[in-house]
Amino acid sequence: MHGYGITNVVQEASDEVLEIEEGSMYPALHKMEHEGWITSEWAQSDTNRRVRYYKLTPKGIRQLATDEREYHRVSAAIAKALKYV
Amino acid sequence: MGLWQRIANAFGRKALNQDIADELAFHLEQRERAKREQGFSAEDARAASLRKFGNVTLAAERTADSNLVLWLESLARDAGLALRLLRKSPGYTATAVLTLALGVGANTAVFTLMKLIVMDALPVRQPEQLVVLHDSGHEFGGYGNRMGNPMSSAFSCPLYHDLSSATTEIFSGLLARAQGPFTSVTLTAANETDRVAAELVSGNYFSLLGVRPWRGRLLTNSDNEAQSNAVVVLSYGFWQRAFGGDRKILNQAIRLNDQPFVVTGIAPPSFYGISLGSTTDVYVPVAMVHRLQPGDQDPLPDRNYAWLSLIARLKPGVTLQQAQSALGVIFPPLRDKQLAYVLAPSRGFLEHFDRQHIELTPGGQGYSSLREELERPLQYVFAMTGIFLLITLVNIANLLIARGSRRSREMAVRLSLGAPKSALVRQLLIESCLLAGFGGLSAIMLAYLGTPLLLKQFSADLSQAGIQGHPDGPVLALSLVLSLICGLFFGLGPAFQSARTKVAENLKREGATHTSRGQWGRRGLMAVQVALSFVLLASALLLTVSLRNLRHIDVGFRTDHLLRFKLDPSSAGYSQTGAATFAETVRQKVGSLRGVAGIGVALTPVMENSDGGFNVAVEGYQPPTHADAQSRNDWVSPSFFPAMGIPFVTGRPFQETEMQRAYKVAVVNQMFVRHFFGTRNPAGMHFAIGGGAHGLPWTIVGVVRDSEYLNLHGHIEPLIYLPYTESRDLHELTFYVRTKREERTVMPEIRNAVHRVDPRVPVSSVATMSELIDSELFAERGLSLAASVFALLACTLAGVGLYGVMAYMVAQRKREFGIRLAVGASPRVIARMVLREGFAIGIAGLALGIPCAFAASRWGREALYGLRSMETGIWLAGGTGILLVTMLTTWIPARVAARIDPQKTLKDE
Repeated sequence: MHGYGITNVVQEASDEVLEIEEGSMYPALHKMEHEGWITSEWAQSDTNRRVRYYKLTPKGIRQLATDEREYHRVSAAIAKALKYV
Repeated sequence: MGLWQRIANAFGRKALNQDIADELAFHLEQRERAKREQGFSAEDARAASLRKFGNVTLAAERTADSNLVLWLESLARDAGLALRLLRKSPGYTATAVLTLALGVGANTAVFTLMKLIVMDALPVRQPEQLVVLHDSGHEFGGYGNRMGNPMSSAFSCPLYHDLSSATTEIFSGLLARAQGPFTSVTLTAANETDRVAAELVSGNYFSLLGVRPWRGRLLTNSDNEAQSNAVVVLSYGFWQRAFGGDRKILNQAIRLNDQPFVVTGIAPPSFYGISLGSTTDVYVPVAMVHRLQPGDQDPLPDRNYAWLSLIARLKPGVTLQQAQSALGVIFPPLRDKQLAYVLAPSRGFLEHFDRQHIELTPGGQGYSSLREELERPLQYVFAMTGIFLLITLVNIANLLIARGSRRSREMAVRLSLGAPKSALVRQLLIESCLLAGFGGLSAIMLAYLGTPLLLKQFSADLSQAGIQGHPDGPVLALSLVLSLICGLFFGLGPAFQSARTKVAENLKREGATHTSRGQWGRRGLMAVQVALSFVLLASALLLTVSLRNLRHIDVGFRTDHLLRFKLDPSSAGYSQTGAATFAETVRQKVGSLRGVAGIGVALTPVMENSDGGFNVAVEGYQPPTHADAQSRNDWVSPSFFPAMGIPFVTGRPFQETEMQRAYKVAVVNQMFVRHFFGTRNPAGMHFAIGGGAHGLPWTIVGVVRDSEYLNLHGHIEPLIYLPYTESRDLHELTFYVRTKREERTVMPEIRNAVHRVDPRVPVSSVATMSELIDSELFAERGLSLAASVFALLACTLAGVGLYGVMAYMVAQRKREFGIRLAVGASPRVIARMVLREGFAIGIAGLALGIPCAFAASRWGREALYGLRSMETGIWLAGGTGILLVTMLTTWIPARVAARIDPQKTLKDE
């Protein structure tokens, strides 16, 4: 999936709640690639442009699982904490 | 993105930026298209997409930066990891770094010395333009300097002037410099006298060499006139040493040989003259030679007195060959002009004379006898450091292989957890680069500190001349690069090995008992290391024994309790007869001291590479060729023979009463008798000095045993001793004192005695004969010391390496040994198995090393002295030494193997 596609997916999947600041997504993508969570390759678009497609790696999937668990743990904790407010 | 891609990114940001630009452009284009599909106008769609995206340039830059920064960060992280890993095994790290540092450092130091002494050009402007003039085909005794340094042919002063004015087409200048005479003068300052090293040079010396003054002015052509004011230029070192760098000395007069000379300037510190290894304190114009020796005949107009060596600077565009052929035309008429001044030339002389011509050789390095003496020894040492470097590399390879196999499990685990192979390779490479870097830095430090020490060993003269011998920038950079290459080279092996690793195989193999291919490789490497160590050990033994032989060489006189010092009465204004009287008084006063058994005088000092000689006509001897009628000579006092301990074979010394001119009596050595008389009895025979002379005025009254003359182990030549009072050249007198006590303890009394005779004559060049012999042997001593140090280090490395290999082997085969012990093998048998393996490596190493060492000893033949009968013993000793080292280092692993507890081991497995 290319960067533009990712912004759209995030936007749509979150029912337009999450809106990525598009300019700051690319440094993040490159960092993730560097960590080996995603890989990228170049292809040609129908408008004859070079397009970079990103793909999740096994390591990325594991990382995602880890981060997801961590996210759930933290958000559950936050939710619990909020109950007492 | 791979490692190379990233490196490419770091260096080629353009490509990276293009990628990012493309990526972002695509994003914007897509967004724009979506907006347009929603019904926005083209312009609005573009504006909206840009708005949503934010700052495009900023985003692009941040992306690019994050790429580079991330790479650097990860590099730093890998380096950090490598550092932590290295720190976790400090033994391994220290060994590897130290080994590399020793290998590369030793090479750097020796190379620096080689460069300094053998390769470096003079510190002057465009040294490649300089050429040395030689008068070739000039072989007559008593005319020119036949035995001296081949670089330093001598010319007379008038010939120098003739050549100067005739060669203006090919040379931009011709400079002259006196060699031999007048090089030591007496400096008098505040009632203190001292001998200083003088160099007599032509006025254009500094300007032609392109040397700029440090202070004041240097010499100019106007100083070439004998009538001009007496001036002197000081070397920087001397200025510092004698005058504390005081600027007020400029334009003041100092007294040289009791004559005033005005200091005009100071030469720069980097300039050591044109002879590396000889110190010059003061530069005096050639034209002022007569003021230094007012009592003598003036050498300036004398066409028969050849005492100047000449160096020319080629005109730009003129090659050495062109100048050479031009001289073929220029020189003959000048040469023939000389002929008018030769007294009664014989036919043989004329034949020779016509063959005389001038030869040019490159002069960019100046003259240096030191270079000639040290070139071969330094080559030997350089060869040794080469072998030593090989040894260190083999050692490091062994270390890395061992570490690699120890870490194969770690690598396998990391691979199975999904680490890409490239990351592992990179990790290993970074590790070896770090090791190499540390090794290189330590090597540089070692070389920087070590070279001056090494220089001191090889040439005390150079370190005294203020030459530090620190390696220069390019050499240091080179050694750093060398160690990085070594590190990379040896890092690549294990890296590729781990890249090829099959995960399952390696995990499975852990704990397997069989010797793997790496084991065999390590043993092979070990054998090579043993072989190379043996080469060094054998060389060290050969050189050390040879040095011992040289030290105890029979020089023909007694070398113990013998003291030498020099006096130059002429520098205090003594005439020739006055000098003789002075010498006799000193002889009596010193001879009557309590600690003195005898004292003799010689004009040509013994074993200092000085010589004198002439053609002789001997009663009843027909010389087959001209060269055969030559003899060396020395002018001595009768007391010289007993003081030196040179025994008489027949006859007697000349007596005190025969010292006057009227009696022409001489003593000769055995070689003279063998050469000129054969079996005839020499007693009472007559000879003449000079080939074409009439009559045979000299009578031989005694024959002494042959003794060394020119140097410690020169070949013995015919030698005539004449009464020194007959010489017309009484300048520097060398006194030899046979002492009753330790030589140095007598010296203060001798100084006092001489001081009482005349305080204006300084006592110089005080040394014992053993010290003289030692200083003669400086090259040999340095060589043997270097060989011993390298041999010791090599054997230590071999021992440590072998220990590592054997210990690893024992650890690997623990289970096997355990089983063997369990089924009844005795610990002794197990220990013997291990010892046998070590022994096999030692024997294999020797088998490889002996031929190499033998070849090396043939190559270095000329550095070895008097070993014929001892050589076999030395080889045996070397071989035994190496085997002993292998046995000793195998001993501990063998004991470990023998003490394995079979039950525990098998349970663990």
